[in-house]
Amino acid sequence: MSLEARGLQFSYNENEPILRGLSVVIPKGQITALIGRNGCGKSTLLRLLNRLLEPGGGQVFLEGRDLGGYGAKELAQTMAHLTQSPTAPAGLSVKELVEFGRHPYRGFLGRASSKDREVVDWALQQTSLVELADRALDSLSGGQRQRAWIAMALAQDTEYLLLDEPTTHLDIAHQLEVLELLAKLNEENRKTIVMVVHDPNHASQYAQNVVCLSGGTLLREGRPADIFTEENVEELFGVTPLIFPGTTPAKPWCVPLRTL
Amino acid sequence: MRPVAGFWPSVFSTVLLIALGGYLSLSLGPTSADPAYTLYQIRLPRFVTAVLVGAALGLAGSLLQLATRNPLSEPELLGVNQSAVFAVVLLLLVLGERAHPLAMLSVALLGGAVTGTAILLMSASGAFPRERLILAGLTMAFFFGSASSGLLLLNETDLFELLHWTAGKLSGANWLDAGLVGGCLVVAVIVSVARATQWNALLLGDDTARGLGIDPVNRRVEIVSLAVLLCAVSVAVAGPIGFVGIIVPHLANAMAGLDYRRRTPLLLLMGGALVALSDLLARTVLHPAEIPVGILTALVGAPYFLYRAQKL
Amino acid sequence: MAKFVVLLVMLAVVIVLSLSFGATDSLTPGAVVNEIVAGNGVVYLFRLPRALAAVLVGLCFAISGTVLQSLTRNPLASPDLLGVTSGGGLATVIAILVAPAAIGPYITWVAFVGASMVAAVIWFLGRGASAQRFILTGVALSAFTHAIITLLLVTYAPSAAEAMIWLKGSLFGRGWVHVKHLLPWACFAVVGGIVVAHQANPLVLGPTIATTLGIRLSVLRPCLWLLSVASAAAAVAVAGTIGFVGLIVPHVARRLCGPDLRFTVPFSGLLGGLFVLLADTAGRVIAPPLEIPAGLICAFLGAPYFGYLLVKGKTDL
Repeated sequence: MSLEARGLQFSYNENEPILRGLSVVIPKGQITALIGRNGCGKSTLLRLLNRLLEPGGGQVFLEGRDLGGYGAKELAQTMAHLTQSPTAPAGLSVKELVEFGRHPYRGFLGRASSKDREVVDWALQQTSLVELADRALDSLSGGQRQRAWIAMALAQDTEYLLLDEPTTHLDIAHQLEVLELLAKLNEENRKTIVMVVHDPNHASQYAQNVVCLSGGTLLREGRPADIFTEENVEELFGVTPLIFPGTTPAKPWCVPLRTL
Repeated sequence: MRPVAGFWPSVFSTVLLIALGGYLSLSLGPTSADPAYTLYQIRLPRFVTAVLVGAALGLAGSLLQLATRNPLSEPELLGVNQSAVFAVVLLLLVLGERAHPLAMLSVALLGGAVTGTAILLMSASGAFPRERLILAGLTMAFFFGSASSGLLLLNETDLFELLHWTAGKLSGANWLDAGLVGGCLVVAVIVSVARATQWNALLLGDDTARGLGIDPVNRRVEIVSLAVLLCAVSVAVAGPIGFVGIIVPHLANAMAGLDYRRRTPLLLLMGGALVALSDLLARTVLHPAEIPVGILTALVGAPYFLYRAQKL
Repeated sequence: MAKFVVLLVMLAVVIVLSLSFGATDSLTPGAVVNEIVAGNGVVYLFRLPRALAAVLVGLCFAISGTVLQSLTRNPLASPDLLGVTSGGGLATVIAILVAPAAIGPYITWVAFVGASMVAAVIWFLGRGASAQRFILTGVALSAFTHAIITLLLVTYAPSAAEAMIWLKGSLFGRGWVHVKHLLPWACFAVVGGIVVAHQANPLVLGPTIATTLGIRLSVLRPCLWLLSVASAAAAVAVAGTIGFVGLIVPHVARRLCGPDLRFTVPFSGLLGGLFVLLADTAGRVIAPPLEIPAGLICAFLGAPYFGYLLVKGKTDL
């Protein structure tokens, strides 16, 4: 059981198809990194997986069922999606944002149950935001804000967590903060995480499964050790890398040296 | 932007349009007892004033779009016209009769300056992207429009006459009116030509402009002041005529590109043609009744605004 | 909760005031109650229905504005600026000029049809992912309908005075028949508003995130639009185009209640009712027997407050 795309086709306008028959399986219980050049369709794929977009051809299957068959609420209870640069209105507090994550569970008139309160508190704890709960979102640092959005996704209490460039625009400490949080969520809470990343090392160090997109289709997928070879990186990114083993051979480091 | 038709063909055709409009304006109309008087004291000044008012409004619209960096800015939609009208209505009701055009102009300037200042503040603050600025301007327009109507309602005597004027009319324009508009236009054009390069830098954003040694705040004050001047004189002479300031700049850009040296004369010519032809239509379509010019421009301009909004 | 109570008390006080004073006699509260119970006298026949109509009109405009600002994520949206109210106004002007005598009792429906037609055009032309385009489409239609209204007024001068007074937004001569017309719509506005409020709250995070939280935009957006248009149309039908209520009252309500629509919608409604009633009462008692239309007073009170919001940069949702 997992998240699967079969033969996905999509274009934003008629002349430029972004995805041309992409098929990929996102294994459950793992962190999958989506990598590729700008414009290769990573964000588009993520949006198709969450039914934010309708494919021009092909299908998406979630837990064996066609994605189109899910109700809006049901889907929201199964998958949470963090977009690039999300915006929130001025003055919204961290807690208020996280509470939005319980929306798919609240009744018709929106009364918050004790379970809702529990989950919100848990989400704040997991992201170490308990002290900042009442602060306004726009008064926080970039890393703290990103954690707040992740907390909202956590409060949604979903199996799947889709994140579009969660580390872009953050300094290195905050980047690691976010990635370590995601690793913890995967290990301790068995969340299936799909994240679009630009830095190949974020993929190699934190993901168990790496999916490479190129030209609107799947170029290759596999474990970091198999994906991050000199040949593969040259083909995918057009740069010559230096590959060397890290603390374990399963997680190689990839340093871009020069363009081809 | 690649020019669609090129500069000289546009100039040529606009001049032709104005000439045609002129010929029709001067010859159409009821036969009168004293043809020379009718021609030189009624129809010709009216036509000339129409052309000058159109030129002024076309330029004013372009200036406002530059100052607010908003392609939808327009004197009517931002409330400049209405605040000027309100000031003039106040003056007319206090004086009880038609006031001297210079007095109306001064008062209209004051009225227009109020909204002009608000627009400057909003543009500077950065919290007013495109449609918010328009909505804020509309609210001001609505306020001053209500205020004017309120004043008119409470003073029932001149209701019809003033009502007509508040929708924009050019009947009764004389050589003094034409002279006033012409004078302000000359001032505006001279300043525009002198400052054009500096103003263009504003399009790159305030920080970049400062890096080039240009003070964006002062330049914007200058630009908006000129726009207010042009609107005020148009309002004082002909009442508020809207939408010229949004149709003309876009057409000028499409025909001649963004080069300011070519754009300015085309703006003036196109604005002049538009209002002259509208005025001609306004006084012939429902003859002998006259449709206020402002209504015609709105009936054409609002769909045009709609079209531009769809393209955003 | 306390705020609601305070507001209700204020409303009650103003209602009593408006019933006591007017162009004819001033009455003591005791006399007021007597007249109501007796079902006769100036209070029962004229002032009470007028006050109730004022409250309901304000309630409808305010709720319309609140819902519209939530739908468009733009705190400057309001039914008057987007052309809904002027659509109603246009239909009414045409009706008044074409068949003034026959129209009388049906004017409510005429305005409603006009407002709905303009709203339908705005919906079909302007909807898309961008709230910006929606708003600008409304602006264009508003300008267009206003131009036609002015054209009609100017061309058919003799009846213009009546049309103009009606268009400025006034509760002059509104009686029990208008209250009866308006009451079901007002109830619809309040109940409908509270019901959709919870679903509409996440819209502030933007359409993408709202969708990931399980909201079906394709269902919610038309409902919000319909609610806003229906409320505004009902109010226009009774009182003409009173502006600023739909623009300003939601702001005040949000500042006092917070952004949660489940509280803001009803609070807005009450506040709007209070505002219009105050404006109407003031218009009656400032310079009797001359009446200043409520719409003008709303504009005079609303605009400076709007200016304050602009200056303080508080124009955010």
